[in-house]
This record gives sequence, structure tokens and C-alpha cells, in this order.
Amino acid sequence: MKVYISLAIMACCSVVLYSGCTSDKLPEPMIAGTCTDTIPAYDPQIRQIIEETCAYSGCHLDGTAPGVYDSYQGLLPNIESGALRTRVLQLKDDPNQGMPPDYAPEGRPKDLTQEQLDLIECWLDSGYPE
Amino acid sequence: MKNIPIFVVLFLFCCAIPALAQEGGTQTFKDSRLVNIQSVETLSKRRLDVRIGHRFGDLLGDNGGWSTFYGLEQATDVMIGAEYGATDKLTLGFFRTKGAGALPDGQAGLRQVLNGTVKYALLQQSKGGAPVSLTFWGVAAASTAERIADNPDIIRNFSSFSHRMAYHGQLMIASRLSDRIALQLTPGYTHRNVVAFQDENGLFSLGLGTRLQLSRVFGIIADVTLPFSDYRTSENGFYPALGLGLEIDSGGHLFQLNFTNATGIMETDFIPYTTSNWLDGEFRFGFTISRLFNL
Repeated sequence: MKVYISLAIMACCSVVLYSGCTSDKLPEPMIAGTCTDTIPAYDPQIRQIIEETCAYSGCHLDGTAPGVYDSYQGLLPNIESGALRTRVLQLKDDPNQGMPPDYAPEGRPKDLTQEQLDLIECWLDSGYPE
Repeated sequence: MKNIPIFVVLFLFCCAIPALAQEGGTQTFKDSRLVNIQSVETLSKRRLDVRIGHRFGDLLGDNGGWSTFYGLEQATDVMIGAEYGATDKLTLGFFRTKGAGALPDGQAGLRQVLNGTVKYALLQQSKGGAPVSLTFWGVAAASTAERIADNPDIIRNFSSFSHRMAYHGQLMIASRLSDRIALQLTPGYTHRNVVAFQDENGLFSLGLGTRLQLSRVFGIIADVTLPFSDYRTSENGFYPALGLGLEIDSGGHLFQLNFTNATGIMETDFIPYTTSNWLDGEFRFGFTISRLFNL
């Protein structure tokens, strides 16, 4: 009897699992016009820029500035709100609003290089892959 | 619809086996898991196994070394949950994992995952009886991560609820060859409801595992999982998940210290998404703590 109960449970599970099955594929990502070559990912390309220029003690790491940029998840809210694009790309020449700011501590960059800016723009335009 | 034959074959196979099962068998492994893969062991009736698993960051390589204190500053994947022995043969489990897998181009797999598991002992090795133990294990994984609706090119777009789901089923064939050595063969099938455009939804794999008993307390465990796929080659940035560990049985608690190149802990994560290479130093330290309770 127990065998039949077990088989009935397994049959039900199989039906439930199968009914929830799909075999979908994502569309092929379009390489954004702002990209010159391949699409960068958060890890490692963008993470390296963030760690060097944003995620350090006294800035976006320990709660001094909004957001804890120690991971993709930590960065995500400010990507989705548009704050990252605005502060890093659009306001980059503003000494206080543009990130990184001109008051960044000694030894930390006060501006991103053009190559870094291009990489971030391409990454954001391509859907900021992790 | 092409998945129907797989489910039918698995179901019929499961139907046929209980008639062969015998009571009073041999314990093949000490724990329900080796390093990455499950073992044939099920829990006794009314036993609860609370488990915590952790994988740190890369020990060496570009993302490891001194700057991350050899990976100890990073939590690549974390699993917490429990399994319960509904009967001596049927074990049901529920686990939460962080999720860690990603394709070589950065496309992330499922994150913040709830995993429901079922394990059923179909046949147990015994003296004068079956030469092997045979167990089925399956997991249904569902991501609870927040949807990123404005980006249709990533898995986390979750345009339908089913895209949050992934499944894995496997048969485990194991034998205790002597008092000290046990071997296990694990054919499996993983299905992800949505994948990147160049990827494949269904994936067959074969796992091999072994355990060597060193003393009453210590044992060495090792396993490797090989996906069968034209896409998952080292040229494309994929590597077999290979784990090596030390098992410590303190009586009541079971500790496992391990090293593996897999980032994810669950099968739906580490089988399709292992892109770290041992030879590049991209392996990590991890541990599992298991505590058994009698309810």
C-alpha cells in the first residue's frame, strides 16, 4: 500500500513539475551603439572601476555616501533609479555632483578616464549584465 | 513537448524499482552530500537534518589572493535549510540559497533561490542482496529575486513566472566496496525554463563521487560532475565542477571542509554555471555543517 501511495505522490509531483516547464531563450542582446567591442560585465570590468573609484572607506562602502557598492546587488538600486548614469556620466564635469567628486581623498581618482566612462556607458546601455 | 519521454522514462524506472528493494542494508556514505553532489543516503524516519553550507571567494587567481584574504572576505554562495525523513526511504527538504552561477559573459543565473527537494531510496545495498544502492533525488528551484523589467536581455527580466524556475533530477548508483571505500555514479538531467540565447534549456550530466574512510572521525570525499553539452567546453569558458573535502564526524554534528571550483551549491546552479578553473586558482574554500535531530 505504501508503495502505491509513494508512486501516487511521485506521479503528482511529475505532473506539477512538468506543467511548470517551459523551454524559452532570451533574445540575442544587441550591442549598444556606445560599445566599441564586446559588452563588459559587472565582474570583473565594472567591479574593478567601482572598487577603485567608489567603494572605499569614507565613501560608498561604509554608509558615508548612499549605497554600499561592495557587490552587484549593492549597486543595483542606484542603477535602476538612474542615479548612477546621472552622477557618473551626465554630471561628470560638476565638481560636487559628478562622481567621483573633486573632494575625493588623496590617492583616489577625482575623475574617470574616458575609457572607463565608455565602458560604464556601454555596460548600462547593454542592460548592465552581472 | 520534447521533455515528455524523459519524465516518462524516469517515472517508469521509479515504478519498477521498489519491488526489488530489501530491508536492512549497508550505509554507503556518512552524509547526504559529498562536496558538490548528493549521496544515496536518506534520513531515517522522523529525523531532521539542519544544514548550513558556505562557499567563499576564489582562493587565488585574478579575484583571489591577499586583497580578499584568499576569498574569505567574500560569500559566493550560502545555503541554509533542512531535510526531514518522512519515512526511512523518503526525505523531503527545503533550502534557501543565495545563488552564484553565471555564464562566462557575465549573464547571471537564478539568485535568491528557494529549493524544494525530494529524495527516495529505491534500492539499498545489502549482504547477499543488491550489490548497489540506488536513490532518486530531485530539486525544484524558484528565484525570489526582484524583477528587472526594463531589460529583456537578462534572465532576471522574468517576463513570466515560470522563468524563475529550474529543475534537476538524478539517479544515484552507489556501492560500498569495502569498509573504507565507497563509490557513486550519478546520471542527471537539469532543466532551466529560460536561458541565454546561445545556451540550452536541457542538460544531461554525469557525476562521480567517492569517499575514503581514514579513521572513525575523518573521511576524505571527492566528486566531479561532467555536463554533456557541445556548448559547455573549456574553449567557451566552462569547466567540470570538481570538489575535494574532509569530513569530520563529531557525533551528532557533521562538519565538512572542502575546496571546489563550483560557485553555486545547488545542482541547478553548479551544473550549468561552473566557469571557474582550478588551474587558474579559481577554486574556493567552503564548509557544510549538519546537525541531526530526532523528532
